[in-house]
Amino acid sequence: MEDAMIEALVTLLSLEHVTYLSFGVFLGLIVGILPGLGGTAGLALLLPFVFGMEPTNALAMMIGLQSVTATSDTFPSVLMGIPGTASSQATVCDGFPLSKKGEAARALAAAFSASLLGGLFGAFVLTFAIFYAEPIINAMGFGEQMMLIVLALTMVGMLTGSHPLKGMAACAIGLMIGAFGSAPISGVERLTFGTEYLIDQIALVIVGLAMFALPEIIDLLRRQLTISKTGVLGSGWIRGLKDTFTHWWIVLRCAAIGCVVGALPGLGGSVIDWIAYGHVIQTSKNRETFGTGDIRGVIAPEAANNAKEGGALIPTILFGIPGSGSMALLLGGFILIGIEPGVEMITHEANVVYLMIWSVALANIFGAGTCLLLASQIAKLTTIRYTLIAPFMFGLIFFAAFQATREWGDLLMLMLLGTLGVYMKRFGWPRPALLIGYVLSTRVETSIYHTITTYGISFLTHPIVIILIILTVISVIAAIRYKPAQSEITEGGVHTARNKIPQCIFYGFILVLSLIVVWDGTRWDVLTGVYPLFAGGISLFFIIPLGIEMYRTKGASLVFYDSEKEEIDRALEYRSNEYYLMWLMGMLGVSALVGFVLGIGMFIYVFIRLKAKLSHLGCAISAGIFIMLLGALSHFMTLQYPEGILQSYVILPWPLQ
Amino acid sequence: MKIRNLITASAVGALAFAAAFASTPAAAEVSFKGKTITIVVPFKEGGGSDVLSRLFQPFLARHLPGQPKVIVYNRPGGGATKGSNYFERKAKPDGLTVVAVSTSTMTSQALGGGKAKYDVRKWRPVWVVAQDSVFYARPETGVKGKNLLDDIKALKKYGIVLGAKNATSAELRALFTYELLGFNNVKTVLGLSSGKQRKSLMRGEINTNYDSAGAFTKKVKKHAKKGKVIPFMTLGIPQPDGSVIKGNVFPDLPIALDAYRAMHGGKNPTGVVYEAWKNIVTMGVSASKGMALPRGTPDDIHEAWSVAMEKVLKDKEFMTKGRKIMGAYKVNLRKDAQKLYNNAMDISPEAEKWMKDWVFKTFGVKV
Repeated sequence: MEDAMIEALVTLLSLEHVTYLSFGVFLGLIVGILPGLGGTAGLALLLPFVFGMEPTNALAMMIGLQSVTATSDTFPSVLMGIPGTASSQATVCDGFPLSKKGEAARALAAAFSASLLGGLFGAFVLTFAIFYAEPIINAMGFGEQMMLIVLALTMVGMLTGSHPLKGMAACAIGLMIGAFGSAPISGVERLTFGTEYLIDQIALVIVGLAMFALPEIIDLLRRQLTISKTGVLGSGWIRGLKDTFTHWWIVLRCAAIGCVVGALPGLGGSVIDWIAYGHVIQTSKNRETFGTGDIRGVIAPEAANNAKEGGALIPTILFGIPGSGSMALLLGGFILIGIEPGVEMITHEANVVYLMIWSVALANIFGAGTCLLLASQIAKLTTIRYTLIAPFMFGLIFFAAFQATREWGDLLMLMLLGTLGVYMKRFGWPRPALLIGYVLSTRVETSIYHTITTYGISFLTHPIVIILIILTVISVIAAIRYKPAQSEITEGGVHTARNKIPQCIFYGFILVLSLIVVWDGTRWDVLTGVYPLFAGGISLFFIIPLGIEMYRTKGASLVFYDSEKEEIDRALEYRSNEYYLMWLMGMLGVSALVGFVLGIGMFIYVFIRLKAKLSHLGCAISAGIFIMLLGALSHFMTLQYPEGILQSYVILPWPLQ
Repeated sequence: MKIRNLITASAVGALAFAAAFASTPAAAEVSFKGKTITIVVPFKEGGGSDVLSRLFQPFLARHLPGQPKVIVYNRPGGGATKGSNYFERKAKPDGLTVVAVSTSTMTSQALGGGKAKYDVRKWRPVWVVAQDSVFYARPETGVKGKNLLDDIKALKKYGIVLGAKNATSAELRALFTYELLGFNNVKTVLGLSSGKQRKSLMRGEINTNYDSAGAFTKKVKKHAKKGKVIPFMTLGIPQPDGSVIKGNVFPDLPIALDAYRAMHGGKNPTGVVYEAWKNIVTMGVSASKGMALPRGTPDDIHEAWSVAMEKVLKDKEFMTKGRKIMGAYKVNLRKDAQKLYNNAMDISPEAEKWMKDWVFKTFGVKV
């Protein structure tokens, strides 16, 4: 083991490794800070470059990126009140009020130092845990794997938002999305509606972008003129650092939570921050200051969400079961460069394992250090009008989606699911629950089948299965006892029963979707059809009672939610979700005529011209920059962007094809 | 006699003349100077076909006439059908676009229920190479790896549990092999990728497995050396002329047909099961990897590619670096390559019916 450790240490500190790691850290900081993009989108953008690289360099780059998105995403959370990634939602609760109070610098300093300590703690625990985990892994057969997935699914209970039935139904929607495409067991294509696009499962990247990025960008466009209202960081750096060390016990506990929960598959960033946040509220004495700018509310989630990266690597490395969406992509990246995670890795490639773990630590040091140094500069960027930033972000997310299968279908699927995401956000259906359901869908299908085929029900006697069942029961009890923060239930608020027609229409849509999935399940043989029946059935199981409750309830209630009832800043012209969705559809329509490159270029031009009122020259430069960026990417990555009718008549020069 | 000789002579002369005119200048005319050649790879970056295509990329650029630029374009999905359909739709017969062809390109056509909008046989193969399959078992099955007939008997007694990706993949070749050898107690766990098959074999949840020669050498050999798994046979490689020979990578292992012959007094199998077996083994083993030009590609362009491929295979750098990745199997060109495609895909209606009935009978899945 010592040999492996020394070998890893030498590689870790080599100039080459540090260079690639820094590059990954750099990219990670950027995608983390851009609202809507996170580790998942960053890795998805990186993945095509990874092939053909020296494995240890590719590894450094990917881990560098992955480890720090949860660091830099603190900027938008604290400065702008919007989560940079799903893993810093809880940071917003107290971070943003601190910013408004002029204590942004203190909040950021506390957050980054907590992130750093959390990340180091995660790497430290991982260094030892990974070896004691080995005998457990050897016992992880089909039955044990299935119970792990069941356990992960119960965690959805923590993510149900304001109404448990909606949370469970959202998870079921994720399970249903996983039913589209070739059945993993029989290979028969189900729910394809005769299209070639749907032969394969819908890509995780697209589901992720559609659920988080697209709805958030539209929401920000509607609600805010600039990302940050002040752009001033205020004072208090030292105080922030002191805060972290004063509350070292919170840092330690939340880092431990991040590590353990991160190691459980199916979870990942979107829950861990909330669990840590909930934990610190439960265990604090004077808890009434939470939500109004309590520094502890910043430290807790930040310590946890960086520690989780260490923990999340455990299932990814050992079982090949990713703990989150971005871990799934990381896993894809590992396999691309020839690292096949599994037990053998611990015994045969311990140096690589150490290298991974310590890369996490080093990346955290680089990341947090950079953030502290750059904070004041980055804050200035957030004073730029959002109408200037949003069109580029739309371009980026459509580009990222296109990387899934490089077909027109990718763009349409992002549009379709993005629209679903927008309305899920509006009507309070928790999107993290959907993503967890989706990520686990294929595993649910195959693991149950594998267990039953191989063991019947005898797997229930395996000791690890029994332990996992106990944990599952504890988790269910915890979920029942867990009460997320809730807004006031008044007729004037978001839970009003007034004008509930829009949410009833949305409900009807989900009902129809469930029925279609169930109907399709009945058309096939058992191996193909049983999963759609199961997923659609679960959905109906939750949404039918939900419908009854919605029908019966007369006054304001948690069952209703419509964010349109919230006040929108009067300084902005009122525009609906549909208005911006139409913009995007227009962009796709134009792309169908002239191809994606020209389409997105024209979109950026027109959007900036009409919304940001820049000069024609400014608009042309903006559009030109983006087209050149796409051109450069197509050059290096051998891409052919979606073509329009124009391209079938004329051969256009680079970069316009 | 004289007249006959004269006719013969003039015919030969005319032929030679025609050949001189038709072939030499035409072959010299084909040049891809300043052009870009696209290799369409209907798989993800990092897959076997992708690795091979990227391996060939610089060598083709070096040896194709006019030394064109060569790029790899991945268009994954649908069991190779998305990229292959794209190739069928878009590629012009001008030699500037080739497609990477692998086993799944063919199984998708044969068993994919019409999702393949191409016919591999209509394409013009540039090269086709085999990749043998190695069968191995856990020791508790009683397999010793000494005598195939004894091993088969032991397996029949113990009962086989094996994994497969799904009910319509090329891995049917393993299942058809056991069928041909008269097994009636094979339990199949579907939904397992080849990596997961290896892992569940190590845990003892399945007891036999099979891997391509390359994957076996890289990932299983170390376990075989420790006696954790025992290789006992290979599939053998169907040749363009229809015979099945032993591959040169595992000379010590018997092939599946040896077992059949030993069980049936030296006779070769006949009948519809053998026909279907040979179709699927030709797809899965003989035509494992390759490259093809689109339908209707003129002979001179096809010949220019074949010549370039011969040069690649003789390239010293390729022989040291490339062969390691590609395996040491014989590379088939021209007519032999075409014959392999035909042998794989010319499925008689009886064999097709038998395959589909078998899949339905075994898994309840309609193909």
